[in-house]
This record gives sequence, structure tokens and C-alpha cells, in this order.
Amino acid sequence: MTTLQQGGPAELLAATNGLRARARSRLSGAGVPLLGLGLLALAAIPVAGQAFNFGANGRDITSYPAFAYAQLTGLCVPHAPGAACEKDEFAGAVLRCLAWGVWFALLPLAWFALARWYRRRGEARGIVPRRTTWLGATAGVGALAAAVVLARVLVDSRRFDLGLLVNTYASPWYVLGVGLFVLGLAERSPLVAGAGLLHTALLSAYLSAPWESGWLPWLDRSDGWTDRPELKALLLAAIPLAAGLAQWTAGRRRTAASRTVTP
Amino acid sequence: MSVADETEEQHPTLSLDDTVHQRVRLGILTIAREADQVDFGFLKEQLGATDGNLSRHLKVLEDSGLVTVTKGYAGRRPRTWVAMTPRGAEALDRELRALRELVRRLDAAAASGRQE
Repeated sequence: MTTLQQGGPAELLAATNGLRARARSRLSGAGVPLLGLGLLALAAIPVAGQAFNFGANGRDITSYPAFAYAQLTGLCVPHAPGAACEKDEFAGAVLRCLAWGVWFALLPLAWFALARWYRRRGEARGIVPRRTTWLGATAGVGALAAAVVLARVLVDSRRFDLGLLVNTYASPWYVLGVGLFVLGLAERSPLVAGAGLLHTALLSAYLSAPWESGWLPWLDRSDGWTDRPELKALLLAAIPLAAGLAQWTAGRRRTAASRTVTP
Repeated sequence: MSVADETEEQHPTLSLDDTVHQRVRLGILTIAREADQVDFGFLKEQLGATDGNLSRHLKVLEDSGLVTVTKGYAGRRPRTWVAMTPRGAEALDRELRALRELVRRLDAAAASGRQE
């Protein structure tokens, strides 16, 4: 237990710093957001092949609502003059559109759920985290994600339009990486901030890769499974999961050390 | 720093606030600064204070407008929440600045004493 013992100013300052560090350690809980967001990203892998487009491969995302509408209305398109149309061309389009939409909505919802979790956990522990920190973090995430997307526009010399945000599925995935980075800053955790930066950098590498170029230089450029969105999503999910496990293990060790009774 | 500067500039001990400087009250403010609200039980555990002692110091801080104290329930369990006011945050910052300056001067004086 850290207590403020009566002493000189130096001792008083040191004890104050100790109390502050202890209060902060009781407030921090980045392991849960890391594992939660990592699992959410992991859950996106089955739909990644159809629902996401990480720039180099995949289908334009605006096609999903259009194809879903085509399936619903039973649209049949002949691809050559006089040729019969393909009846099952748009089969499964509604499900794919739904999967993409659900995941798109889940990430911002998860962010707010985590904010609520921090608050409830603080109430149970007797120290409630500052609301302004989360509001600041959310504003910071929005600003940084916008800056990253804007930087891509400048680097790639692309025309800025809504398609850039939606087609490459940039904004929600960037929210995850940038969100972890901001959370790491708020909790003064280099591990969490580093995981967020790594996630953002990897996503930027995916999105900056030219069309049909290999996104991992050591892999075959052929369009095999290793160059498809599933593996990209898996690697993106692996970053917060690995960091979360490391954070959780470190937390367990700290707790075990604090329970050790010294004579 | 010259002697003239010393006399012109206010000595850091004069910036120390008796209300804030007391060790339990300084601890309360330090913890409350990190959060929106802190529970009475949490403060008691962290500061190693008794119920009566902590209540007394909280009353002093509340009367000075440095914290607010609100009572409520979590289920059937009564909870007392302590929150820092903007005035309390300013007072704590001022106190810590004065303490740091004092430590700096003491270190400088000790270093010059060793050189002589």
C-alpha cells in the first residue's frame, strides 16, 4: 500500500507520485479492449473474402447494396447479345451485404460498449475514470483517422471522395488501429499504443498496394488464398490479440507480485 | 540564483497551502485528480486512514470548495463519492509546483554545500 508518510518535500512528492501511479494502474484495463476488438476483427475473417476490400484485391463495396437489390428483384442480366442470362448471378448478395453492414456497425458500437465497460468497472472498483478522457480519445480517434485517410489521398494522389472511405473499408478499420493508439496514450501504455500504430501501418500498407500487386513481397503474386482478404484480416486481428494476451499476462504477474506477502 | 533574486521572488514555502499540504488531504486530492469520482472506501484503503480521520479531512476539503461529496447507493450498499472541483485541481497543481520548486532549491543548496 502506498501511503503519504510525513517527511520532507522530496518524500512527500515521491509518495504523491506513487499514489498517482497506483490510482492510474487501478483505472487501466487495456487488455479487455485489445482482446475484445481483436476477437471482433477475428470474427470478420469469414466474411472478409466477400465483404472487405483491402485495396489490392476484392470487389468494389458499392456493388454490395446494388447486387443485393438485384437478388431481391430477381434481376437477370445477359452478358452478351443474344446470350441467356445467368439466373444465380446475384445469389448470396443479400447475405454478403448484411454481413458487411453488421460488421461495419459493430466496430463503433464496440467502442462505446468499451467506454461503458470502463465506467461500470470503475464504479465497482471505487474509482470512476474521467469521462473527458474518453470524449477526448474519441475526438482524437476521429481526427487521427481522418488525418491518416487524408495522408493516403495525398500520398496516392487520389481524388478524395466518399468511395475512398467506403470502398477500401478504410474508416472502420482505421478506427480500430487509431483507437488502440489513442487508448495507449490515455493509459500511458507503450504496448497498446504500439499495437495501434502497427495495426494502422499494416492497414495503410494493404490499402497503398497497387491493384493486383502482391501485398506481402515474399509471397507468390498469384491470386491464391495467401493474397486474399481473409489472411489480411487475420493478420490485422492478430495484432490486438497478441498485444492483449501480453497485456493480460503482464497484469496477472503484477497482481501476483502485489499479493506476495513480505515479512 | 543570486540573493537579490531570492528576495525578489517569493519563496516556495510561501506558496504552500495548509489546507492542501496536510498529507491525507494531499493524498485525497492526488487520487481524485485522476478520476471523475472516487469512493470513500477506495480512499480509505489507499491512504491507510480511519473512517473518522478521512471524514474529517474530507469535510475540510469540502468546506474549502476543493472537493464535492455526494452520497448514494449501489444496490443496498451506501456509497460516498468524492469529486474534485476545478478549484481543487488548481490548488493541487499550485501545491505540487511549490513542492517541486522547494525540492529543486534544496538539491541546489545541498550541491553547492558539497562543493564548498
